[in-house]
Amino acid sequence: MNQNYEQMSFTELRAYVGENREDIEALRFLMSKRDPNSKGYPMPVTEADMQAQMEIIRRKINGKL
Amino acid sequence: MLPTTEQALPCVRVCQMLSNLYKDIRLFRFDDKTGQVYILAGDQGGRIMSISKVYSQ
Repeated sequence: MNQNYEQMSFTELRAYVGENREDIEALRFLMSKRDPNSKGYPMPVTEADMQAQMEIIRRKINGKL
Repeated sequence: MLPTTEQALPCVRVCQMLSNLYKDIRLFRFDDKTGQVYILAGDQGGRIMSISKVYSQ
């Protein structure tokens, strides 16, 4: 299946990707829509790293970041 | 292209973090052309947190 990803909203595309897991092109396109300036986080190595990153994710979930 | 052992540990850690935060992992995919791992996680229906953890080889 070759959908026109450009015409989908971000929400529609995300839902499509969830339903069409074998469509790797759609997944790549979805990921290409991410903000290129968004902050990246390194791999958590220590337990303290994991706790710190979990706190970051928790704040993102709560809309505080 | 196959996943590397260097990718395995971060994947486990990210999945563990999501699980600790009670987030459903909706999609886990290794892109065998680019060598990247994609993880989509979040709540069904409502506000969804999309995580793309990219580990290039």
